[in-house]
Parts: sequence; C-alpha cells; structure tokens
Amino acid sequence: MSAHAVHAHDGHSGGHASDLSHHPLLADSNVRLNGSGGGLSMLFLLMGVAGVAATVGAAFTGAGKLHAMASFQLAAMGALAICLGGMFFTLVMHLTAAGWSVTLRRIMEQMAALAPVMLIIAAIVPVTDLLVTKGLLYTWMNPSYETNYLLGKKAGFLNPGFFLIRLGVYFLAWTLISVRLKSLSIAQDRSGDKWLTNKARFTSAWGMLVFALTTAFASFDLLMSMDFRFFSTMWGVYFFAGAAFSSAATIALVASSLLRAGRLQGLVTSEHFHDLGKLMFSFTVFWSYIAFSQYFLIWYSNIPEETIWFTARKSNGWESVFYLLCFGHFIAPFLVLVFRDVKRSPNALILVGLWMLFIHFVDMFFIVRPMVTTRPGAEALTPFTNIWVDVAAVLGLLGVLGFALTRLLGTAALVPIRDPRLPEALEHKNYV
Amino acid sequence: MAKNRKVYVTESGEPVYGVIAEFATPADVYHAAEKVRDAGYTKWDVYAPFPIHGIDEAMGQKRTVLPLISAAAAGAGVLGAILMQWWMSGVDYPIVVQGKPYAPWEPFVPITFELGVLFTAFATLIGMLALNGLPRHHHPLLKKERFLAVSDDAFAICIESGDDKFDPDQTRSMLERLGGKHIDLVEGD
Repeated sequence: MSAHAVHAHDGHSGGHASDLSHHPLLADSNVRLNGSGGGLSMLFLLMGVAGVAATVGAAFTGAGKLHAMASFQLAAMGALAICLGGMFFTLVMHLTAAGWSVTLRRIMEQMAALAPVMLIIAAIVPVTDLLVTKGLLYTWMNPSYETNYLLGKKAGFLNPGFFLIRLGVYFLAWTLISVRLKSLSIAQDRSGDKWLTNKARFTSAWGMLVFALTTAFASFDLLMSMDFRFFSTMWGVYFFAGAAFSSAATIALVASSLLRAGRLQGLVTSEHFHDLGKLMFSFTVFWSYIAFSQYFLIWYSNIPEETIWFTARKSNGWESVFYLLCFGHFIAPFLVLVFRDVKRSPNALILVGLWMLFIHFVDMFFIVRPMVTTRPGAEALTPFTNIWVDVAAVLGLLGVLGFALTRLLGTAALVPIRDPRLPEALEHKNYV
Repeated sequence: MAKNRKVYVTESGEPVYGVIAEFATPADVYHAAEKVRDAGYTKWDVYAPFPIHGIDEAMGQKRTVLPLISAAAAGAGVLGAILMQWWMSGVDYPIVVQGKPYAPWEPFVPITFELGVLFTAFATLIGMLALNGLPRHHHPLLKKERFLAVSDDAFAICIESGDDKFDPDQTRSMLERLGGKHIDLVEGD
C-alpha cells in the first residue's frame, strides 16, 4: 500500500513489460490451464450434444419443425451475441488503451474468436429455411408471400442472393477482426514487442466501425427479418445492448470460475471485478434504455407495421414474458448490482452472471418464439407449450459455447503475459 | 462527543483549533497518517496539493454515508414521480390522449427517470456539501501563512482540539516523533 503512493508512476512508463516476465504471479501454474478443465469441457460437450440432439429430435415430435427451428435459432443467436460482446469489449479495451482490463482481455479475445463459429451455427436454420423448408421461420423466404406489397418494397434487400452474400461478409469481417486481434496478442506473449499493442489499437479503430455495422445488419438478417413486415431502426442497437450485457456477465463468470480453479490469483482481484461489475450494471441500464425506447416509440406512434410485433408479444400469454423481462433484465440486476460489495465479490457475480445469462436467453425467446405461436392455426399455443424444446436448445448451445471456450482458454496463457500495460492492471485500484 | 471534554485556550484567550505539522513528501505524510490513525485519533485531516492514492486507508477513513442519502432521494424521486403522474392523469384530470388509457405506465417512465435523477443529483450535491461542512467563509487554518503552501508544494497533518485524545503537549510531541516540521498551534474555532 505504502509503496503505491511513491511508485504509482511505474505503470505508465510502458517499457517495463519484459521486466515482468518472471513475476511470480505470471508463473505457468497461475496463467495456464495445463490440461485442467478437461472434466468441465466434457460436461459442456455432453450438455451440448444432448441439448442439440433433443432440439433436432423435437422437429419430428409433436412440437414440430417450426418450433425446433425457432428454439435452435433463439439459442444460437443468444450464444452468438455473447461472442460478439466479447469482440466489442476487446475492441473497446484496445481503443481506449485500457490498463485495468489487461488481465481480463484474453478471455474477451477467446470469446471473440468464437464469433465466426457461432455465426456458422446461427446460419444453419436460416439457410435450411431458405433452401429446404422454404420460409417456415423466416417468412420473407416463403414463396406464398412473393406477391406481398410490403415484401415487394423490401425485396431489394430481402432476397436469397444478397442475404447469403451478407452472411459471408459478416463471417469474413468477424474472422478478420477476431483472428487479427487474438494473434497479435498471442504473438506479444512470445516476443514481448510492445508495438503490437499499437497495431491492435489500429485494427480496433476500423474494426469497431466494421463491428458496429455488421452486428447491426446481422441482427436485421437473423432476427428482425423473421417477420418481414416489422421494422425498427433501433433493432441493431437493441441486439448489441443484449450482446454487451450477456458477455459482460460471461466474462465475470469465466474469470470467477478461473479464480475458483486456482488460476489468475492476484491478477484478477476485487478491483477488476468491481469494474467488471460496473460494466454489467451499465449495460443493464443501457439495454433497458434501448429496449424501452424501442417499445415506447412504437407504442406511442401506433403504426400497424410496427405495433404488430409488440401486439403479438403482449397477448396470448406473452405478457408474462414481457413483464419478466422488465423485472429480470432491468429491475433485479439494477437493484443488486448497484451495491458496491456485490460488484467486488467474484462469488456474488457468479450468481448475478448466471441470472443475466438466463434472462438474456429469455430476451431471445421473447424475440424469436412468438413466430411459432402467431401462425394461423396456432392460437391454442401459449409461450410455454413444449417449452422443453427451448430449454434443451439453450442448454445445448450453451454447452457448445462452454465446450469451445473452455478448450480455447487452454490453448494459450489466460492473460496477455507481456502486454506493456500489464503493470497497470496489476496495480489497478478503485479509489472510491 | 464527550461532555467533559476539555476546552483549550491560548494565553491570549483564543480557543485552540488544533496542532499542525508539515511533512516533506507525500510518502512521509502517508506514513505519519498511518501512525496518527493507529494512535486512535479521529478528528484530524491530511492536507496535500493533490490526491494521494490510498490516503483514505492510511487515515482509517470510514466509507461515506453519501450513497445512502443519494439512494433515499432516488427512491423519493421515483415514487414521487409515479404518484404525481398517476394522480394527475389517472385521478384528478383524466383526458383521452390518442385513444390511450388514462394512466398507462409507458409515458410515466421518462419523467420518473428524470425526477429520480434530478432528486439524486440535488441530494448528492447538497449532501456532500453538508457532510463537508460547506460552504464556509473562513477556516482557522487559513490564518497560518505556512498553511497556504498545501495548495502548492507542502503536506500537512492537523489534529483538531475537538478530538477526544487531543492534548496540546502530547499531540505536539507525537507529531514531532513522526517527523513533522514547523509544528504550530492553530487558533480559532
């Protein structure tokens, strides 16, 4: 403590990165998984295989193809959002030259690296729907709407060729950004070259712009276009807000779990969790602000093409999910995360993080699943009819994500061990 | 506040505000603060031209109650806004606007948010000033010519006579032991 007042300038001198390479906290036993976590990844794999198998199987039971596709898609989009949030935080930390978060950045980079993979998984249903089932879930792909006036106006955008090209663009963009940022970071682990940090920052400058545009358009293509009549200019931000919300929770969950596994001791402290908790809190508020703004303007202006979306989601049992989101996506995390002691406790953040992941998938459920119950002839279905398919799909995709993330974390150091701003992260402290 | 606390007066009859000592560096004043804290003093302060990281712990400062004041005001603002709007548009003067219900919750949200933020901001600012005893026009320390340097390059600790452990001679000799220079009695109240 006393040394701090005198030596606080050390963190800013930059050139000391290599001096730290023999720091006791950076021993392999603290910053590498070294094969442990294998049991957990097997558990995740089992959960993933069982969940996905149950979802696919549901297509051939009473639940039906449409329900299985919707469940799979809502789970895949939830998982994709988490990975995209990891990409967002990596970009932000580089852009702002953040020192405090260096010890958390490798987790974000590994999450980001899964975004292209998750995009492929999230493209399975729409591409199948385009080629095989012909617009069961994504109504604009349905040939029976070909003469629809509204769809005709949107056909310049919503047509199979352009749709597939866009999916390819997202894949390329997210691969480029995530692979480049991760490989720069891992190259620095080996060489200690501090200029790689500048390259990562430059990449983040254009990467953030590309990320923002591709994320927004991917959310139009993969979620909003399911009901082609509906449009909302806030949709991209809404999806992004959920992504940042859920990935802040995931980062906290992963960091807490690694701490419990005896890793990152002294590298990720209550000070880091405090700031991570602030991010969780701020994106709780941000999501609520965006979600409410979207709903409020549509409610006020009362234009049929827009209200049709919320009408379907505030009737026939969906009101309960609507109000659950108000409570669970805003009020509950707000009232819990507002306390300093909660933000500073890794164990408390595990509970809050699990709740946030749960409610994030409820949000996806609220977006996607009414597509099943609003169909003509589906009037008797409530949101909770055959809910097991949705539970299976979410657990399955979380299993896939958890398996991939656990494996990825084992392939490199858990922190960027020679980052020039690492000393700043080690000294990080909230003075309030 | 002990009732039987002594009131110290200088030879000229002025009340004693406290004893001040100067220290050469932030590290010196930091370590001295730890010792003063450990000696059990509660009414004292460290003066420095810039924030010294970790000085709160070195002084053993408790967390402020300001967040509780802010939270109470936020609750009052939110509740007040909801009650006000519900009473005005639902009870006192219901008007049909755009075919919407009389008192729907949706349009209440922005005003509820704004009033909550407004109340919180006022309570936090006023609460901070009140807890700090501000604003005030004068402070006994400002009479000391040497004290003015704490806004430039000096570091000082002043132990106030209101402290239960304060004793003009013992406190002075403790500050001497801690390496304090230019130790002086401060007059005023």
